[in-house]
Amino acid sequence: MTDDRDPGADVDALLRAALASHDLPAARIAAVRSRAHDELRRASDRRRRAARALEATAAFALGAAQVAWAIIAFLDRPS
Amino acid sequence: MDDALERDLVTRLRGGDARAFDEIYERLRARVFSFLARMTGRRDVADDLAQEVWLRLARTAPRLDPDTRLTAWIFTVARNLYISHWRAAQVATALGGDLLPEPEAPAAGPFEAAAEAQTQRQVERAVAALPPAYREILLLCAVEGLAPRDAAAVLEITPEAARQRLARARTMVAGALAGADGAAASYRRGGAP
Repeated sequence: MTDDRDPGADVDALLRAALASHDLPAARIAAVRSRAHDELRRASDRRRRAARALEATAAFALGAAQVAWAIIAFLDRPS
Repeated sequence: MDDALERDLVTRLRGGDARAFDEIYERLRARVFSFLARMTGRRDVADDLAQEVWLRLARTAPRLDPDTRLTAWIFTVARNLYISHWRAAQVATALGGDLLPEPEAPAAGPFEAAAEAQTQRQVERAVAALPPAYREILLLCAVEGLAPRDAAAVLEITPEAARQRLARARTMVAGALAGADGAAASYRRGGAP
């Protein structure tokens, strides 16, 4: 009869049981969370501003193209 | 953490949802810190690096790809920060570091408590004594429970290479622990050292 168990399972179980998870003090945890919230808000704002700028640029380019098209059409009219 | 939950968190993080950040922070904070503490062997360094991991997540959140595997992404950032720190400072990890468990009041009896603390110390030392490449895969897979494909992605190696490295790391730590047990048994019998 063969042993189908994962040969590393015993080692893994021992490691998980013996190696306690370490954590930071509560004040430190809260401080990092607070800073991260600020960073997240700033990053989201930057992203939104970039998206708005892109939209504005696209709208300007479309308007410019329409004006150019109108000028070409005007100049190209039969005299 | 299952794939659906990771996708949901990524979607919400991309939208700047602070509660999504809190959720992933609660789930992975201690794991990331423990990983870094065992890689560096120092709490203060691990604290600084862990903070940078979370700030990078916050800064990058709106630009994450929708199919980002979040746990693997976070451990990749943690590992890269550890490597950068190691390269910059050339700090040799001290065996055991300051991670040895604090003495606790005996629960069942002084001998049982002492034996348990001794096992923890032996395991911490055996893991700390591993070369970093073996230590990191053992911590990621055996302790933090990352799937082999995620661990391979974190370590930037193939899944097959990850599997072989993990097997070797398990053998090394098992050998170290067997050696420690043998020495302790020999000492208890009145033999060497």
